[in-house]
Amino acid sequence: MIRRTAWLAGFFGGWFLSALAFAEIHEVIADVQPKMVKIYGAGGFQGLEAYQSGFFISGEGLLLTPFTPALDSEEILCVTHDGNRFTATLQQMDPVLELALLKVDAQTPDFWDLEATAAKTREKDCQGMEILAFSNLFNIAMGSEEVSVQRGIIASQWTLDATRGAYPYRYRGLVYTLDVTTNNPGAAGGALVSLETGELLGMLGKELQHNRTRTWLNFAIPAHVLQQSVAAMLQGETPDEESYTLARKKPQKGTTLAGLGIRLVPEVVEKTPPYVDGVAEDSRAARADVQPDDLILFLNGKPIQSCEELRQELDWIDEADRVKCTLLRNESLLEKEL
Amino acid sequence: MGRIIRKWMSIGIFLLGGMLSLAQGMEEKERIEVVARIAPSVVAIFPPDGSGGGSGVVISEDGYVLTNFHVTQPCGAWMKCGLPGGEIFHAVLVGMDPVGDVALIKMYPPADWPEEKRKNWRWKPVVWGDSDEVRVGDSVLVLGNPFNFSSDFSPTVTTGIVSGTHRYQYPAGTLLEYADCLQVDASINPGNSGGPLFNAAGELIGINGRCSFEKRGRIHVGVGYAISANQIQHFLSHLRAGRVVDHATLGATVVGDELGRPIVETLLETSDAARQGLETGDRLVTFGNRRVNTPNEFKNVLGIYPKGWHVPIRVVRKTGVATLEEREFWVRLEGVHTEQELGNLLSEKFSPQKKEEGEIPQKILPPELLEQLEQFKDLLKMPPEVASCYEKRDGWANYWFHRQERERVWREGMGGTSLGWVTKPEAVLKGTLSSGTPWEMRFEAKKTTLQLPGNAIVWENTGDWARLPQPGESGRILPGWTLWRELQRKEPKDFPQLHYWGLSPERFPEGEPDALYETLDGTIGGVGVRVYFSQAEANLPSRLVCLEMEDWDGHFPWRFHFLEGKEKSLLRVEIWRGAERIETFNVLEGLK
Repeated sequence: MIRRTAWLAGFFGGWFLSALAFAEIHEVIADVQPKMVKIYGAGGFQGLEAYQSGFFISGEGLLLTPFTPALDSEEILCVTHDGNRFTATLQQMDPVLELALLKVDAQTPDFWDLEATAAKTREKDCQGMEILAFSNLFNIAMGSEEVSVQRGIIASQWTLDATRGAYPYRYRGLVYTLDVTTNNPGAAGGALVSLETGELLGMLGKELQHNRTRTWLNFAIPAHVLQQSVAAMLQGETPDEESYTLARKKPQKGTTLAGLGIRLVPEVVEKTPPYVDGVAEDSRAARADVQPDDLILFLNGKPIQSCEELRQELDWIDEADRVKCTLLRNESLLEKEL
Repeated sequence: MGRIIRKWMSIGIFLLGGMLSLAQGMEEKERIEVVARIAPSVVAIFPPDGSGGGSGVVISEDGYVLTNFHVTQPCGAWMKCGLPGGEIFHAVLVGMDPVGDVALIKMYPPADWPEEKRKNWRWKPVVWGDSDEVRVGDSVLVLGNPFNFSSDFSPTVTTGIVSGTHRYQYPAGTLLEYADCLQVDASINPGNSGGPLFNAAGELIGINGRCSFEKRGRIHVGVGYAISANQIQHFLSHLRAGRVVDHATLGATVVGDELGRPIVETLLETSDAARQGLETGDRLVTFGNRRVNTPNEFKNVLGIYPKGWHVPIRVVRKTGVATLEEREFWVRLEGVHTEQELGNLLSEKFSPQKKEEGEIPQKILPPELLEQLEQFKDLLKMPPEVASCYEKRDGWANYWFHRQERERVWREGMGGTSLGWVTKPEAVLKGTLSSGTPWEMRFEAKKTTLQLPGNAIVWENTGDWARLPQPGESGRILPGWTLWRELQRKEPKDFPQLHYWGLSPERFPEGEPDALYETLDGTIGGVGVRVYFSQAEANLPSRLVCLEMEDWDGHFPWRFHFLEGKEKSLLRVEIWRGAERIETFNVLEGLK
């Protein structure tokens, strides 16, 4: 009896769930739209858009959006999914993430609790996750129209190295890169949510280019980084670069060059390339076949540009952990694990 | 016990997971099947000289293809269509909607094919979907010919979701306007223009035509727009009639009130809306059975209708300090452009005659190459299978198609009756009015006489339909009825200014609420006349033919309802003026 019941339950449950899997996207969209806000301010000329996206993060009208010249306006207009219009005031800003905390004078029952969502993205490996991106890109959604929805996946998790024109972007922490084009006017401030659950994963970033390749970046700032920023802003603090670098946990005892058995070339200029000068006998480096004159290019996948940077980066790696190095030796690349 | 349950539970969950991945696998398998099914309907479109190119989709077995106006624009009157597998057909321009960016073309089997093969040749049409049912988040498929990738015209397939519905895109330049369109995140690139947008089931829900581009050049950036299939359906019969169609306006400006709701601000006195009773200050509630909450939504809905379309509108009117009243009207929409304006705009952007003479493009080629090309000049001449289906006429996309459609509709609506009251030079119809009073209508070559007890009304048929009625002639009653007899007696060529308009919704007291009627529209002897009747396929036991005649103020208040029974026998004639029924004539004898 139980067998048959369980069998049937499994069978019908399977069909039921697969039916749900098809219906879900519409439910997720219906669930997310009331949390979204279209924001209008100053601008509208010379490539400065007067519109952007944002979303509610409290029931009392707090909302999060990128800090842009558009907010430098006497009146910041917020339009919700049903066409209701509110005037918002700027509460606080984060100059590193370029985020602004706005408040409208209304009860906003639909919002994301950043504390709760942050706890999830902090722990989770999001690469490959299916996502929906909600934003008012190109200001297509006018009046009471709901913001646009795009579908894609998180292509990678990456340490942002971006620039806007000649100016480097100050935030250099973790971001999600996306396979959908979110790098569009007005998209910044949009919500990145899980296709499966509708949970907030992050906020669509501004129109930025990769620092070296100048490729336009489609990325989102993870929810736990947003949460950290909001917590600081709510306490009246102004976050700086350090606050986000410190967010990475430093190990009690970091790795040192001496510990690995590597001696670098003398630092004659400020950005001396990290060439190996010597390797200690029977050291970790020697066992992994690191040789003098090797140039260290990457450390655990992160590009290294100078001796100093190598030293600093090693300090983040626990002494007990393995270290992956990419070396340049006689014009060939070698992968070594120390 | 508990262990057994746990064991079976885990098996259940295992199965469940299996089913889920099975479901995903099925989804993919279905998609592959859908693509295989719809791909043969996707067309690559090129101008005769082979430059540029866009996409299109087959909508009928006999080769009608939908595409964008801006794809046909550089082609002129004819173009080449590449189908998956590499076959190339010639096609001719049929109709165009320059405002809505839609064009209809028709492919023909090549003239050098054997007669038998030409006759039996069938293309594979798509199945239409209902674009009003499309929801944000629905999966979509885009098929087309981006960047002219395919060497054998097999379409490129991209997928995505619907990002927004009922979007409005402002006119680009003066003409193109995308109202009520679908926004998708599937890749749409140059060359995809005019190609089909399908839902997951492979039904046609739109024609892809436009993208939002900004600083990254003309490539896809996550936003593409498609003209909704339902909007195109409104225009399709008009396009088939060889027309250059125009979009509609209400003849009123609409602004938002303090709550952003749509209010009629100004109203053109001569518009049908004003005549039907719309007033400034009225708040629009529904338009064409769709709710409109903002001026934007109103503009959006308005954009899906052709000029001349008949729509119901509901308004709320303030009738006192605290009293509101709801009213409903049927309004015939006016055109956005006058025919002159549309013509001017088109001649600036487009001329169907441009390349028909087999002219070689001059701009890009050096003179020595042009000389060599002279010998290939014939290749740019209109091919015979296409040339026989093209007739140039100002203001029309292709008058040949109008001729075909008008003759078909004339046959269905007016032709083929053998009843004596129509065929005999003189005839007398007899019957009773609704009050029971007997009447007699005598039709003669030069006059029509209505005999009522103790009163005879005579109308002299001088052929001058515009003549003002003389005292005692009862307005348009006699001329209207006489005209209906004449229309059935004569041929389309006898009424050169009465054109086939297309299918249009009309409002009969006894009519089907959403039925579309075949409509002829134009002038006869200087008087505006509109004739409409249910479609031939409707197969109703009785049929209502409606003839409207212009009154002296330029409107159409005189309406004759001819209720026909079997074999086009006349059962009853109702005469309306505006919303008022003037008289009902029951026909009892004289038909044979």
